[in-house]
Amino acid sequence: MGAMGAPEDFVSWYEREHPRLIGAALALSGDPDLAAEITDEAFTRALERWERVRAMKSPTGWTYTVAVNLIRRRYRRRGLEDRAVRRSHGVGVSEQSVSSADPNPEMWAAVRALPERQRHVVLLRYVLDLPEAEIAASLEIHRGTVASTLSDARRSLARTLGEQEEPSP
Amino acid sequence: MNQLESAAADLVGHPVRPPTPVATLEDRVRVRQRRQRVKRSVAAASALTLLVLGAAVLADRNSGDTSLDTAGLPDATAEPGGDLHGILAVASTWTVVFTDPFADAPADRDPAIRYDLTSLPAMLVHRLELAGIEGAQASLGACCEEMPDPTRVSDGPAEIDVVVNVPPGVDADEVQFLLGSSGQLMAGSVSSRSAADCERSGGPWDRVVSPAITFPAEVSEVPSSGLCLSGNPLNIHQPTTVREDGSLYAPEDSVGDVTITEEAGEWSVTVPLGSSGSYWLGESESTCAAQQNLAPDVSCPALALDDRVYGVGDARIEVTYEVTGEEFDRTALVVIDGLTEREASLLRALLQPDGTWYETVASINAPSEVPPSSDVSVSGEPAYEAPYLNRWNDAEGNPVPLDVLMLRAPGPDFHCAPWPADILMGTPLGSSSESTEARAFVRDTIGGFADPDVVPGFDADTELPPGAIDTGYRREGMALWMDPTDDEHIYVVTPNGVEAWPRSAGNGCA
Repeated sequence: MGAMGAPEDFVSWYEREHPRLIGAALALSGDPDLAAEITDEAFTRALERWERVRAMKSPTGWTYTVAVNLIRRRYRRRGLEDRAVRRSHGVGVSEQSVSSADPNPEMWAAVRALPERQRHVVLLRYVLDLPEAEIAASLEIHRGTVASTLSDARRSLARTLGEQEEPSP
Repeated sequence: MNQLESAAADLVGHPVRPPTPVATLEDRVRVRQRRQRVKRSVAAASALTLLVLGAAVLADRNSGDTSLDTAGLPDATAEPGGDLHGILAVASTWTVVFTDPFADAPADRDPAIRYDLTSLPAMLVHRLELAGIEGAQASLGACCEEMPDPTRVSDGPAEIDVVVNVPPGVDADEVQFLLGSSGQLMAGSVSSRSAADCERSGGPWDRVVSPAITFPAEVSEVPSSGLCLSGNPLNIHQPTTVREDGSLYAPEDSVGDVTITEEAGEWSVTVPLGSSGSYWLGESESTCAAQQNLAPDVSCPALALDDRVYGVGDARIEVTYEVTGEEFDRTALVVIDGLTEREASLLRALLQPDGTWYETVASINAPSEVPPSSDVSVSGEPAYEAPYLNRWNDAEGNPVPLDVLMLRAPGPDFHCAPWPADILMGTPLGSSSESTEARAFVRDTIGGFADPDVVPGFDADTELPPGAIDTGYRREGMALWMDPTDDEHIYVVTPNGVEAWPRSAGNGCA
């Protein structure tokens, strides 16, 4: 970033992708405040390294993974804090709750319960709207694996939510 | 549109927050860039200091002389309120000298001269002596609250203040005291503190002589058993939290008076009951069962120590603990073969009924006949059981301690380092990553995707930059090269070519 401010292509990309990333962060965490904070941090890091990030196969995928790592770290730390509090008070704290801002809490709770790879494939595909090739690059897996993982995830979600399995698009 | 697509559209169409203005993101980036510049400047200065002090330590070790010639050292002076970086080595001793401390003091000055040692990342002080002034006393204590016992264990930034009491009327040209440190290699800063609630008078830190190695770091192997000793007893385990009420353990008796006797070539050690000083309780993640290979049939019992510790043999001292009906033979940390002085350090670890534990250290005068290379031996390093930690060899083919340099290849499921491999090293290269800033360089084959902290620049097929130097470190066909002008990348040279590995701002959590 130079003295002239953020590059124009960053600004347009940021405005386009922000709703998707904050949505994915919310779906992952169930916590709107945390989702907003993590999203800001992820985009800040993208801006910090924009020359490099813009050249990636999937800048959005990279930023999503930054957000995932940040959320993971946050919960790891929160877990430690919770255990310390439990030791002193004998009670559990900060049980993750489904956000009231989430219009489909059951769906995203079910997504959160998926195995990790399935969870990320679902969010990258449906919330971030990435094509298979970018998902594959982002998760460092083959495109065929993306398709099969997505299929497994859909079946699992259908079972959990009690809906009829839909054919793959 | 299926249910999933519909839910995703809802989520994206009704974001929980509007985007933060780009200008705010820009401000954050600018702040970080400023911090990075400052951090790099400090790191460069620290590295230089550590390098010089480390060289002095090595020179001292090789000479077998405990007194350290400081003539060649830079002016390792900390102005009042400033920092001095140095190495507190295993069982090292620091000599701290105040010159002309009362030059500006009023005649009715407070006899107590209080200095604080702060910002030490971890240290244990077991010895404090004051020399040169008759009638003067020195003690350690928490800020403004003197502690009767000079032994303190600290995890995290230590707040240890040294209180030097010099009676009024004594016209001292020099106040000197020794700080003995036992435990793992560590680095930190020593500074006087100007906290408003901690009145201080007297002169500045005039000179802090870098540590003279006075006790070998190499220790005997500690077999696993029901006791919670670290793999390397000298490598003091530093629990990450203290007990909730923050209390310190202060038993009636002390292990301060360890006696070691020799008879017909056999050594014996006697330690009284109890322990001295303070202790810190570990949290659940550091329980003995998880870390110390606790025998399955031993569930962290309350221990009662016999009042005798027996030592037999010419190379080690055997210590026997009575453990509530069960007896465990322990190997103490002391290696005394070839030493002419009957001096040793002893560490004890004691379990609490609730599974937590504490350690104590006692030390008497340390010997000077230290094998020149004893503390770079890998035999005394802690047991690293993770199979993905790989050792390097130096230019002479000698194994390099893992805390100095290691290759980690943990695999995709290792959450701390999701990349294929990385190299973890201390700063500067050759120093322990436990005591200095640890640096990780990542085989970032997916372009920084896996971690936001990884800087750009992985290149699977590159050339060595002009001026790159061979570090001499080798591992299974890999040679480690570095560019002195670039601390963000290292170069791994193999028969197949040269790879550039970028640095990660984090170093994983292994």
